[in-house]
Amino acid sequence: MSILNQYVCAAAGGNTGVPDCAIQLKDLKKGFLVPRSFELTATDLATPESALAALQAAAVNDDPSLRIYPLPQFEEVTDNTEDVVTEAIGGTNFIVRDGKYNLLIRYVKGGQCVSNALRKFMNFNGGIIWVDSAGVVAGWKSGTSLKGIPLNQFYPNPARIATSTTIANYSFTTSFEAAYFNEGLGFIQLNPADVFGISGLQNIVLSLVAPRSTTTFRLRTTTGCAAIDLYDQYGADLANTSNFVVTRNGAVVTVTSIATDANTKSLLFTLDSTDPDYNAAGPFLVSGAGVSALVANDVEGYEILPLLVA
Amino acid sequence: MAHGTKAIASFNKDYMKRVKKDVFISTHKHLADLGVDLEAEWLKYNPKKESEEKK
Repeated sequence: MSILNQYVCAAAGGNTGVPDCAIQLKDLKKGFLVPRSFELTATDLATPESALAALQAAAVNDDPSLRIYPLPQFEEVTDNTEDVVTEAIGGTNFIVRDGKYNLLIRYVKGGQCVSNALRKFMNFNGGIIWVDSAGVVAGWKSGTSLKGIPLNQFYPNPARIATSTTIANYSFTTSFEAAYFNEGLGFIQLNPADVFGISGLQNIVLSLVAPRSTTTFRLRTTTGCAAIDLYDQYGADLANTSNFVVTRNGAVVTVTSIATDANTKSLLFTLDSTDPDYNAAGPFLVSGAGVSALVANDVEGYEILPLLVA
Repeated sequence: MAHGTKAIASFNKDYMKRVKKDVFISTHKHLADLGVDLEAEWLKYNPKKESEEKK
């Protein structure tokens, strides 16, 4: 058996009986930007509960490169999909190829904060998973897995300024090949409220309250965009040595304690001066120990951004 | 979680188990100033050491 000169013709057709219940995607309400490697495996897809749990876990993955990023709730989807490309020959418009999908999606929730965060995904080289208003989660069916539809382009548009008659306009455009949303479409049905409830992480920004004093320093914790002080709500939960990692020149330096300081509404760190990696000269890089560490200490929905303490 | 003005402190378990009480207390006076009972905290991690020291 040889494959020489054996051209593989496309299937001649398919049976066109109409099923009693067929998938018809409704208006898209949400999406997830996912890494190329992300997939919901056959095990994940065993039940709606396991699929939802896999999505929830992926949204808080400690490794940002493996994390899926929930997009804000869609308020308006404009279909700018390219028409089928044809060539007119002898009066017949012969099909050259399918048009590419281009969707312009406008959102309101999150405003400038989310807009600025999404701008960091400029030319994101990953995929997208869509969610419609009925909770159908749609992506690319690859074998027994559900993957993200590879994006030709993800472009977060610059915000447009509010006017006397319109609110500020936040939007992004996505572009992808038609095959993924047709023959390659994979989907699962989840409870809409459950899947809409998967939200993105917020950053916790650390800032030095006063210059470091050899082994001690105080850090204030605020949210990344709105700069809301987290001390009153999470101070006691954040004051846990398992939430943070301190390094100097890449080597971990032991943090002996972290305590709340109500006077300055900050976290008081103490370093172990007997640690061989400690050097009074510093500087020390203070990082979060991971999203899962925060969750374990009842601080959910956040990730700590690193700070260099001189 | 809401809390009062008395500091809530978390300690490194490995460090607490190896540090001597007097060293710990002398190097963490700033926590005592915030209302942390250093001796009680050290004892949480070293109950046996304390009883051995008394012997």
